[in-house]
Amino acid sequence: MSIKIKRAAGAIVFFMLLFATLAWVQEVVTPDFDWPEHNRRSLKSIRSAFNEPKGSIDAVFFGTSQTFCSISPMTMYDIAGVRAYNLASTNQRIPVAYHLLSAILHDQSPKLVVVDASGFFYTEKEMQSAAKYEEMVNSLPWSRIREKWTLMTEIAKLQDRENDWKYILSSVISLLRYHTNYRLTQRDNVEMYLKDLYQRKGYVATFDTVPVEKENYKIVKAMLDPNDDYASDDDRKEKLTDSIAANEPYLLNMQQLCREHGAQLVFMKVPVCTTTEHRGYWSFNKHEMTEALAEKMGVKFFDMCYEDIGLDWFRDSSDSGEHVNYRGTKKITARVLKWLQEEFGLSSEHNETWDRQWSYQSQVFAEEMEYLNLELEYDLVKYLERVREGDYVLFTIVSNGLGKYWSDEAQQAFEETTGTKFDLREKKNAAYVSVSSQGRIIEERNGKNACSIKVDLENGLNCKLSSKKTKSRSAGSIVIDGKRYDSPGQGVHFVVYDNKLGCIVDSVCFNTASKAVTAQQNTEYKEDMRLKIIEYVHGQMKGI
Amino acid sequence: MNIVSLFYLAFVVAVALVYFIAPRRIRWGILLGASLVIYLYCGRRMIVWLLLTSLSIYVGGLLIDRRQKRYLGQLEAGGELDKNSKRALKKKNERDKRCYAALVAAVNIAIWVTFKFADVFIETLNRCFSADLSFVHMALPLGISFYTLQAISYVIDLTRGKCEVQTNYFKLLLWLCFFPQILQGPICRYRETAHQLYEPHDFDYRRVKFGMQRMLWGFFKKLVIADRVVSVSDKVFGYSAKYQGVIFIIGALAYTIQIYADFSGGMDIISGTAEILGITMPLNFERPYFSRSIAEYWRRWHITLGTWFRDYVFYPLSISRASQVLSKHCRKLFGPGIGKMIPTYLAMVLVWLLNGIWHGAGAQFVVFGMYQGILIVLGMQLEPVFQWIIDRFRIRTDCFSWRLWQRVRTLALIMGGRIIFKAKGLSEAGRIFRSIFTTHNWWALTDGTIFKLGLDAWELFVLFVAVLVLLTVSILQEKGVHIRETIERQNLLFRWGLVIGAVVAVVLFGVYGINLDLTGFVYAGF
Repeated sequence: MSIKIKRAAGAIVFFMLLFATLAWVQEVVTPDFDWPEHNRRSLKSIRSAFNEPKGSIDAVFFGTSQTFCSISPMTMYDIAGVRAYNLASTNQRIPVAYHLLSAILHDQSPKLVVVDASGFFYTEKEMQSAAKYEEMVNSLPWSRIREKWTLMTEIAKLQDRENDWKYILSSVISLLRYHTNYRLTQRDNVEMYLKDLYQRKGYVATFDTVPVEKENYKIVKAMLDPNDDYASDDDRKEKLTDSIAANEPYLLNMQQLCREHGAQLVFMKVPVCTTTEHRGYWSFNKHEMTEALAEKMGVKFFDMCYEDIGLDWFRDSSDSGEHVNYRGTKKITARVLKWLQEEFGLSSEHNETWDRQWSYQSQVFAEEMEYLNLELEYDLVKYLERVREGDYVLFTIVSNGLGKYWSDEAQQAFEETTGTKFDLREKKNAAYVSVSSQGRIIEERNGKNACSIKVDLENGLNCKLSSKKTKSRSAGSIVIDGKRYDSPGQGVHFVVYDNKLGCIVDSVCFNTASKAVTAQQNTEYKEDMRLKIIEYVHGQMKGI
Repeated sequence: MNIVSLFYLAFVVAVALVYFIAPRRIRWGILLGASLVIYLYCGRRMIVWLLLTSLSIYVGGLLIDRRQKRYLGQLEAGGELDKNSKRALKKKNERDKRCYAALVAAVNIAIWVTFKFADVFIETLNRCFSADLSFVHMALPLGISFYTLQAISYVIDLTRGKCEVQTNYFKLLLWLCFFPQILQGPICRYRETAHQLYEPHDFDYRRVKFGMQRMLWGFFKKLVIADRVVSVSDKVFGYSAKYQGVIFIIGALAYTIQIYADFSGGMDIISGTAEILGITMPLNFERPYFSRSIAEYWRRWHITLGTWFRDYVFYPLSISRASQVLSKHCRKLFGPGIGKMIPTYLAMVLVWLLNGIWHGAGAQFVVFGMYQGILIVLGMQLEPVFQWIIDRFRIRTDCFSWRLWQRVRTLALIMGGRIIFKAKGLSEAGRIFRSIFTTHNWWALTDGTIFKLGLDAWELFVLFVAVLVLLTVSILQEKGVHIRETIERQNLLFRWGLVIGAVVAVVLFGVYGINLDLTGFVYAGF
C-alpha cells in the first residue's frame, strides 16, 4: 500500500474516531431531563424508542406529563404481551407530537396511535413554544436528522430567525449548545447513559402519595358534571374553542400520516383531578369539544375522567391530582389496554427475539417497581407489614412527641415488626429510639424527655439515633454513616435499610399528631437508591 | 469575521481544497479571491480603503523603481563621471525615492489617522473651543492598523533596495490582504512573505497536520482561556469602583493572561491556517511572560510590531542628521556619557509614544506607551546601580531563584502597564494603583470573594488547569522542545488520544454558545 493511501486511510479513521468521541460527549452533556426540578422526564427515553427493533411496536402514546405518568407499556406487556411505547413529554404540543410521529414511523408500524387530549387545548401562542420544539430536537437521534432539521427550521421561523443558520446549526448539533453542561452533568445522567437502562418504554414512575384536597375534589366533580352550573359558566369556553381549532390542522396531519402508514389514530384522556388553577385541568367543556372533534375526524375517543376505573384520588396521586403515582398507573394502564383490545383488537405478534428482550426488561421493571413500591405505602399499619416482609434494618425515632393518633393497630404492627415490648403511648416512652431487623430489636432506648443510642451494626453500619419530646427543630435525628436520613416533621420516623441492596430504601415520617396520619418522605437518598436498585436488579437478572 | 467561528473553519477547509485542486499557476489567485471574499464579507464599502492603500503603494513602488532604473541608466550612460557628479546623482536619486516613499506613507498615515483619531480630534476641538461638532463614528476598515504599516514598510524597503518591486497589482494586493493575516497581523515584510504567497504549494500531509494542530492550540488559548478569564478582567475593571486592593491585582493578572491567550491564540490560528496553505508567517510571540526585563519582553511580545518600529522609526531617527547634531550638543552640555545617550533615549521615547498611539486614541494609550519607554530607559540607565547592588550584596545571578525573581519583577511591571491599558481612563488607573498600594485586603483571597468575580469555583478550576497546560507547554518550548515534532514521534494511540482530547477540551470547555456572542479578539480592534 502506498504511503498516500495509508495516510488517507489513517486520516479517515482519525476523523471517524474524533466524531464518534464528540457524538458520545454530546450524548453526555445534552440535558437528560427537560425540566430538571420537576417531573424529571427523561428525554433519552424518547430517544430509546428509536432503538427499539424495527416494526416491533404495536401502539404508541402521545400526550403530556399526565400521559407519561399514567401509561406504562411494561405493565401492558405484563398483562397482555402488547408491545407499546409512551412518547409523551412534558407539556407536549400537538405540532411537536406530529413531528415525533413522523420520525418514529420511519422505523415502526404501530397499529394504533393514541393521542391524549390534554394537549389539544394549548393556545396558538403556547403551541409556538420554541422550547418544546428544542426538547424534541434533542430527543431525536441522529438517524432522524431530517426531522431534527425540519423541527429546527420550524423553531427558527417561530422566532423570526429563519436566516440565522448558526442558531439552527447549534440547535441541531446540541453539543454546541449544551457543551457547558459538563459542570451540570449528574452522575446518574452519565451512568444511566453508559448502562443504557431506559427500559420503562417512556413511562415515568412516581411513588409519592399526595392526596387531592377534598375541596378541590368536589370542584373537579362539578367541572366534569354537564348539569352543573360550572359548565355553562365557564368563561374559558371561547378560548378553548379557539385552541382546539388551532390544533385541528395538526391532528388532521397526524391522521393523514397514520393513514399513509396503515395506523389508526385514536384519542383518549387520562384521568386528572385538578381545578382550573392548574393548566392540565379537565372539564365537561373540554370533553364535549374533544368529542365533537373526534366525531368530525372519525376518530374514537375514550375519556377516562368519566369512567370509574377504581382510582382513589386520595391515594393514587403523587401531586394532589395532576399526576398519578405507580398505583394509579397500574389501574389506568389496565383500563386503557382493555379498551384498546376490545375496540381495536390490539395484540402483538409473537416474535421470539423481541419477546425475549421484552420479557427480560419486564422482569427488571417488575423488580425495580417492587423495591420502589415501599415508598407508595402511606398507610402506617400496612407500611409496617411490608417492612416486616423484607430483609430490612428498621431505624425508628419518635420526634416532637408521638401525638394521639398512634392507634392500637399501629402499636401492634410496630411490636410485630420490631419485636419491641415498649408501648409508645406511655409517658415514659415520650422519647424513643430503636434499631430492629426482621422482628428483632437490636437496640432500643426510651425516655421521658430525651434519649439517644449509638450502634455499630454487624453489616458495618454505624448509626446514631436521638429523640426528644420538645418541639424544636432538632427534636430527633437518624444519622447513618455520618449522613442524616430522617424526614422533617412530628411523629414517628422510619428509615429502612435494605440488606440485599446495601442502601437506604425509604425514609418517612408518619405524622401521628394529625388525624389523617400523613406520610412525608425525605427524598435526598433517592438518587443513590435508584442507581443501587438498577445495579442490583441487573446483577440478579444477568443469569436469565 | 471571527476566526474562532465555525464559518471560518468551513471557509479554511473550502479554500484549502480549492487551492490544492486548482492548477498551480492560478493558486495565488485563489488566495487573492479568498482574501477579497473575507474582506467583502466583513464590510463591503471598506474595501475601498484597502484598494486605495494597495494602489498607492503599487504606484509608489513603480515610481521608486523607475527612478532607481533611471539612476542606474544615468550611471551607465554617464560613463566616466567624476566622483562628485556620481555622488550628486545618487543623492538626487535617494532624495526622489524618499520623496515618493514619504508621499505614499503620508497618504496612508492620513487615512489611518482619519479613521482612528477623527472622533478624538473632534472631542478635543469641542473641549478646547467649546464647539459643538458632532462625532463621525467611523467604523475602522478591517486590519487598517496592520496593513498600513505593511504598506509603508514596502515602499521604504523599495527605497532602501531591500526588496524587488512588484509589477503585478493583484499580487501586491494579495500580499497586503492575505486573508488570515489581514484580521490581526502579524505585520509581514514583503521580502519575507510575498514570494511564499505567489509560489504554488502542493499538499503536504505533515505540514497540513501541523497547521491544524497549531490552529487547535490557538482555539484552546482563545476559547478556553482568554474567553473564560475575560469575565474576571471585565468585571474588575468594568466595575472598578466596587473593588479595591488585592482584587485589582487579580484583575490585572486576569487581563495579563487574557490578552496573551487572546492575541497569541489568534496568531496561532492565523499561522496555522497559513501553514496549511504552505505559507510560513513571521513569529509574533516568543513566550513573552518569561522575559527577564521589559526590553526583552518587547522583543518577545508582538515581535513584528516591535521590529517594524525599530527598523522604520528608531533606526532612521538614531542615525538621522538631526540626531547627530543633537548628540554633539548634548555631549558638550552633559558630558560624553549622558550626552551620547540622550538622542537614543529621545528616539526610544518617541518610538514608545508611537507604539502607544498605534494601540489606540487617547491619553491613556499615550501614557501606556510612555510607561513602557520610560521603564526601558530606566532599566538601561540604572543598570550600573543594579550591578553595584548585586556585587555589593554578593547576589548570585547564575541560579534559578534570580531568574525567577527577574521574571516575577518583569511580570509585575507588565501588569502595571495592563492596568493603564485596561482601566476606564487615566484617573481610574491612578485610583487603582493607589488602592493596590494602600489597601491591604488580602483576606479577599480566602473569603470567597474571588468566586464572585465572574467565575465560580468550577470555572476557576477549569481556568486553572488550562493555564497550567499553557504554562507547561511554554516551559517545554522555552527549554527548546518542539512540541509538534515531539508529539509526531510518539505512538499512534497516544498521538490520536492527545489530539482528540484537545479537540474535546476545546469543544467542551470553550466559552461559546447559542446565547453567547463570540468574544472578539482584543487586537482585531486595533
